[in-house]
Amino acid sequence: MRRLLTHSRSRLLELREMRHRGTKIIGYIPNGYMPEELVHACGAVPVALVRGGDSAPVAASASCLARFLDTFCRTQIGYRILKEEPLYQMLDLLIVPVTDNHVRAIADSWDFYTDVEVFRLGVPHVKTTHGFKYYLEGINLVKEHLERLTGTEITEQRLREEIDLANKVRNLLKEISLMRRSECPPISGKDFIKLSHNSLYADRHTLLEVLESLCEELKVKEAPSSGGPRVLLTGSTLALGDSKVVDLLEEAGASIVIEEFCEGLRNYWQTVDAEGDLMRALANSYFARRVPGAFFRGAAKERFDFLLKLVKDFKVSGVVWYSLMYRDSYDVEGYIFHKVLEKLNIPMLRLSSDYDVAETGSFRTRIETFVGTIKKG
Amino acid sequence: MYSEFLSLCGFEPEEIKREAPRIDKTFSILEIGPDDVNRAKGRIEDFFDIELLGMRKVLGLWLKELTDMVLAKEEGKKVVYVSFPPISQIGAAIALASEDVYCAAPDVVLSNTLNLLFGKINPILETAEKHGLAPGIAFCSYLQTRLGAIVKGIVPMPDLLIPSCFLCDLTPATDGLLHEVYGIPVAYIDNLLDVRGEQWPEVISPRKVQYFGSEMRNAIEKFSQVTGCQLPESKIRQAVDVGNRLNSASDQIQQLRQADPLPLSQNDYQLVSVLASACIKRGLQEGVEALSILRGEVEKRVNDGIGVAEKGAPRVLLVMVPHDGALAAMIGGLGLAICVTAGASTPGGSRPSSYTSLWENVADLQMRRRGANYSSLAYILQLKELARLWNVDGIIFFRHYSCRQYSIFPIKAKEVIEKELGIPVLLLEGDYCDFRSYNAQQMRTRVETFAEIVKADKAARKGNRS
Repeated sequence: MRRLLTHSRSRLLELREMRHRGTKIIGYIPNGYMPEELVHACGAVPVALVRGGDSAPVAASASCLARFLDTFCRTQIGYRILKEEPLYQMLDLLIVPVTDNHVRAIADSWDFYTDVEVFRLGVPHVKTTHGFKYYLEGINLVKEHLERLTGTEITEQRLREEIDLANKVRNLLKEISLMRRSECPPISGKDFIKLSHNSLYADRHTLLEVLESLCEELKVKEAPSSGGPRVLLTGSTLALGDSKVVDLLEEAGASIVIEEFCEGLRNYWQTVDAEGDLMRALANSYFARRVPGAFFRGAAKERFDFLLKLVKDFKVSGVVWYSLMYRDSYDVEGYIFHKVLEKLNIPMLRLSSDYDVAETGSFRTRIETFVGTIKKG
Repeated sequence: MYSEFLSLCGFEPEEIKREAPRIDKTFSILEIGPDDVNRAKGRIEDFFDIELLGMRKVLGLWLKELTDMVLAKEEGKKVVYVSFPPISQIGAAIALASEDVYCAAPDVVLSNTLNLLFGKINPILETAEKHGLAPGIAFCSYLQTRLGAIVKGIVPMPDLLIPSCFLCDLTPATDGLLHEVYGIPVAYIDNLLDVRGEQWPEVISPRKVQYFGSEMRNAIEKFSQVTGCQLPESKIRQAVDVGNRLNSASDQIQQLRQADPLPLSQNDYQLVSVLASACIKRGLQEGVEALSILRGEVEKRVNDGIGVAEKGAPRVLLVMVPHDGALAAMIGGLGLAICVTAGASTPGGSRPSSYTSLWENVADLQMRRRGANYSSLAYILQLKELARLWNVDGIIFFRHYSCRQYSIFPIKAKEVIEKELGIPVLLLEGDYCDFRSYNAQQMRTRVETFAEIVKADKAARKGNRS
C-alpha cells in the first residue's frame, strides 16, 4: 500500500513528462463503460476523472451549471475551473460514457467551458440485442477516434496483451476483495477503497506488482476481528477524496466489508474473455455482463440480486446506501431496495451528500445510531 | 350540476346532458366540489380568452379527456400510460388503436386540468412524496403528479406503462418504481443523448435511428401482448396522419401569432399546443374541429387588428410555461407579448425524413425535431433560430428547477444569445407544477425590470433605424 501511495504521489509528474514527450492523456469518467484497454493499446494513458468530496469545486461549478445536478458530476467541471487539480488540466481528450443527464452535464460543460475535445460514448439503458450492438459500435468508434488521435493502430495483438494485463489486475483486486468474506478481514474497507481509487490512474505495471505483493501479504496476515457490524456500502458514486462516510462508519465501529458503486471505483467483478473477436469481448464484459447501474431501465432486479448475493457472501448485517444529491435514479432505487431489505429484516441507512462540510454532524449522528442499532441486534 | 361551468368550457347543451353523469362521477373521484368549480371559473376568466368559442372548445376537450381518463377502467377499457415529453406518434397510435383502449400521459392531463384549472394538485404531490419521490431532493413535480395520482387511485391503475427514457431520467425511474412496487408492466422506449449539438438539425447517424426505431417497435409489440390489441403498420400510419393533421392545425394558429398586435395569449396557445403534441385521444378525435374554429376567430382578430397586447409591444420567447397560468399572465400584464415558446417548430427540425420504414422514419423525425435529443449545444442553437425566426426582443427562460436537462445549459445560453443576438435573456427558476413554495409574484420585480430593459432596447433600436 505504501508503495502504491508513493507511486501515486509521483504519478502526476510522470504523466506531465509523458505528455511533454508526446504521449496523449485521455480522461474518462469512471462509470465502468469505458474500456481502458483501448487507450493503452494505442500508446496513450487513460486517467479517470474521479476526484470528489470537496465543496470548493461544487461552488465553482455554479458559474456553469445549475445546482440540481448530481454533485459528483458538477464537481468535474469545478475542478477544471479551479485549476488546482493538475490532472484536470492535462487532458488531450475526454471520453464520457453518457448514461444519464447528470453525466451528460459533464460532457456538455466541458464542451462549453474548456478547449478539451469531448467524445460521447452512448451507453444504452437496456441490455437488449440492439442495445449490445449499439454499445459495440460505440466502442468501435472510440477505437477509431483514438487511433486517429494518436496515429497508432490498435492491433489485435496489442489489444490482447492489454486485456490480459487488465484481467490480471481485476483478478487480483477481486482476490483481495473476496478475502473480506472472512470473519477477520485482512484489509479494511477504507484501504481497499484507496487501492481501487489509486488503481484508476497508477501505472498498470507498478499496480500489478503492488497488487501481487499485497495479495501474498494479506494471505498470511493475521487480522483481529473488529467485532463491529459488517456493512455493505453502495450507491451512486464514491469519489477519490470523498471519505466522509467511510471514515464515519469506521469511527462508529462498523466494518465496511464490501462496496458496490457504479462510479468512482474500479469494477473488477468480471474479466474480459480474450478469445475470438476482442471488441465483442470488451462489449460483453463492459456492457452485457456488467451489473447495471440504477440508470438502466427495468434492471433493478439484476442489481438487487447482485447486492443481495454480496450481503449473503460477505455476511453483511447492515447496508448503507450512499448517493449524491439529485441523482434521481439512485434515489428511487434506494427507496425500492429499502423495501426489499425490510422484508429480509436487514437494516439500511440512506445518506445523500452534496459534499458539504456541514453534513458531517448529521451524518455522524445517523451513522452512530445506525451502527448502535445493529449492534443491539 | 355544473351546467354553467361546462357551458363556459364550450359544451353544447346536448353534450352537457350526455356527459353530466360522467363528469359528476369524475368530480366525485377527484373530490372536486362547488368551491373548486368556482375557483376554476375564476381562473378560466383570468387566464383564458373565453370570448373565443374555439378556446372554450379546447378547454372542453381537456375536461372530457380528464373524465375519460378517470373513468377508463370503470368503463371497461385497458389503460396505457405514455409519458411526457411525448413520442407523439406512439401516443397517437395507441390512443386510436381501439375503443377498448385508453391511452394518455396522466401527468399531462392532470397538470392541464386538475392543477391549472382547479388548483387541486397538492394532495397528489404529497402522496408521491410518501411513496418514493421524497420532498427536498428536487424530484420533478410532473413525475410526482404521475406517481401520486396512480398510487392515490384517482386515475386507474394502468395495464401498461410506456415511458420514453432518454430526455428525462426520472420518468423511467418512476415507472420502474411503479413496476417494482405495484407490479405494473412497463415497456421502456430507450434512446441515447450522445449526438453532438453542432449536428442539429441534420440527419442523425443511421445506427441511432435504427436503435430508437427498434425500441419503439418493441414497445408496440409489448402493447399488443399486454392488451391483446393488434396494431398493424397501416393502422399506425393512419394514426400518425391524424396526429400530423392536429399538429398542423396547432402550427397554423401559432403562425398567426406572428401578427402585431399579438392575437392570442400564451396561456391560450399553451393548451392548444399541448393538446396537439401530447396526442390525447379527445384531441385526436375532436381537436382539428375545435382548432379550426379557433383559427377562424384568430384570423379575424388579425384582419381586424385586434390583439391581447398593445400594437408594437416587445415580443418575447418564453422557455417553459408553468402550469398555473400566473407567470405568462404577469409577463403579458407587464406589456410584453409572448409570441413563441421553445416548443415551436423550426424549418430544419421539420424537414421530412428520408427514411421510408415506419419506425425509422418516426425515429428520425422525432429526434431532429428538437435540440433536446442532441448535446445541450443544440438547445442553444434551437433557441437562437427561434429567436431569429420570430424576431423577438428578449427571452425569458423559466427553468423548472428539478428538470435535469434544463440545469445544464441555461447559463451558457444566456451568455451566447446576449452576445450573438444582442437581446436580453432573463433566467428565472421555479417549479412547473408545484406551487406550494413557488409563486409567480415572487418573480415580479425581476420580470418588471426585464420588461423595462426590453422596452428601452426596442425603443433604442427603433430610434437608431429612424
